[in-house]
Amino acid sequence: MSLLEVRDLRISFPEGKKTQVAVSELNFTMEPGDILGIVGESGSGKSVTSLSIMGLTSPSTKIEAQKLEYDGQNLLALDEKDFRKIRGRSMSMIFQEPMSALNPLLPVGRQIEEVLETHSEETDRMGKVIAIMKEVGLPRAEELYHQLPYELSGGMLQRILIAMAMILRPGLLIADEPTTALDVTVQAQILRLMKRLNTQYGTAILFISHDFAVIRDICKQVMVLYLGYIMEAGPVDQLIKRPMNPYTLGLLKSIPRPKVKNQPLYTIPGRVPSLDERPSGCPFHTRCFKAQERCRRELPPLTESGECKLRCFYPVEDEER
Amino acid sequence: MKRVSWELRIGLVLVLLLLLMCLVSFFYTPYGTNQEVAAKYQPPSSTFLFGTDNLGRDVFSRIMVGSQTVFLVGFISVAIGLVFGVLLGSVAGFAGKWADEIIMRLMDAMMSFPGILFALMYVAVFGFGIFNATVALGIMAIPKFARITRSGFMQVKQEPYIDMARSVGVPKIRIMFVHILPNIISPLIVAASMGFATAILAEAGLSYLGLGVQPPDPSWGRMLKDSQNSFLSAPHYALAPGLMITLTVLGFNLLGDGIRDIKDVK
Repeated sequence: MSLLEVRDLRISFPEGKKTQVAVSELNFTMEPGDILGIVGESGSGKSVTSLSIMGLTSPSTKIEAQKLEYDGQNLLALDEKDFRKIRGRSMSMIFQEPMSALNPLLPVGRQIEEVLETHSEETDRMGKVIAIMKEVGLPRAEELYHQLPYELSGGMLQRILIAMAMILRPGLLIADEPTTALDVTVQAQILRLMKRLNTQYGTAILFISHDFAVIRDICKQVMVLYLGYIMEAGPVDQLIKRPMNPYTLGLLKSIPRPKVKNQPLYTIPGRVPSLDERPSGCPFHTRCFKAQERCRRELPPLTESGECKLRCFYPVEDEER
Repeated sequence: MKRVSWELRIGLVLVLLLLLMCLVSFFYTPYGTNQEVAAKYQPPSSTFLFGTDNLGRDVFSRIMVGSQTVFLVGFISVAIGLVFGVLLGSVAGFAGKWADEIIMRLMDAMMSFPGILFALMYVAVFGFGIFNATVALGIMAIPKFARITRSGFMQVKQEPYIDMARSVGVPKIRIMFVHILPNIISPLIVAASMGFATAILAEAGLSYLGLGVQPPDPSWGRMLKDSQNSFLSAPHYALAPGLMITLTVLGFNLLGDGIRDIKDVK
């Protein structure tokens, strides 16, 4: 039994008569200890996917799936009360902006402790909080416990959030761009910390990012999303070495490389269409350099070859990379 | 560094002086409230600070004791408004949808009704006296607090830290009162301070109409009414309670303004 199994997930926002689809035909599974990356530009459906797994989408959001199971438990059938019991205990989440993800008026230690209060009958709560704070690399934990969020730096706050998310050793941690708001050195530290917690406790991590460089650092498997469709998926190394989908290639080419000088940085032409101007056929055809008539008409199926999955009629040739 | 504005200073001084006067009046007044101590309508002098009234009672003593009513009415009516307003406002702001719709339309209906008129009706139905007047004023203060609370909830509900709390399974009630409410407390404090001023003014109005404090208990509004007949011959009698009401309302309004300024700087 897989830890997380997602079959044919479709997320949409019904608005009057028309419905806006954010994610469709999404399939993936995660085993305990996996680190899976989801890459895509803003509007590709990354965040809403993670929120729907956590059951945190707004009430008007429609989530359909053949299967959406965590540890054999059907998440679609859970009511709010049951969902609350597994949030924080079995799965938890960290957010993009550590500076605003903590209650500004509550000491940070108290906020970690709240997770214990909610889920366990632990008696030495403070001791446990101090222990996890030390574990995520916070110095002077006893002192920090009583401090308010504004007194801490962004990197420290992200560690606090990780401590909150990890204190009950959940099976799955969803990280929604956890390092985007941090500077690069702190980013590397946080990634290292997450990797360590992953090997130490076997917590699976669903890592969402728009940055291939970060994904390469932490993930083994990666999934490239565009307008809610999987465009390409597979082992990170393979995708980076031989991207087959023009979109993946575009994302990779737009990472700055120190060795390449005196050349403008590549950008994918155009912009991500909004939900109500979603193109027919292949979602990427409006921006794709290889688009043909067929791409405009039909949605390419997701084909599997070896460990990789690909949704494209005209994959990138070797000489085009 | 927090800037202490002159509004805050003056407001604080006025309110504290008044509070002091109120506390002292429980133990000591120069002449007692209901004794005839001198001739009628004595002008202010060193023996009778604010002069004497139409029955020869010491105005200053009566002003002092009257301040007890001011605080009583202010506190209780603001407390009623605050408690019910915050409860209704949090439910409306947090639950949204039909609960919000029902509660806020009810608040709109209450707001569209003149406060003093409601108090008049309430007192007419449930009986004269300061207690009923206070309750009526409290009820009329509910919509204001409910609105402030609701808009605060709607705003703070969107904050990432609320998502974070939800993502670790914190129950709704706890999110409402531990994570949201403390973050919207400052506009409520400001409104409470201003509400205090409104309540005092309204109580003076009601007592002036004879519906609040009943004689012979002293009340600023009542004194104003009694001074009416002798306004031309003994203006000092009207001046004392009038000035006190003005200063008190001014004090609480400045205090509210000052607190708001501190919060804005942040």
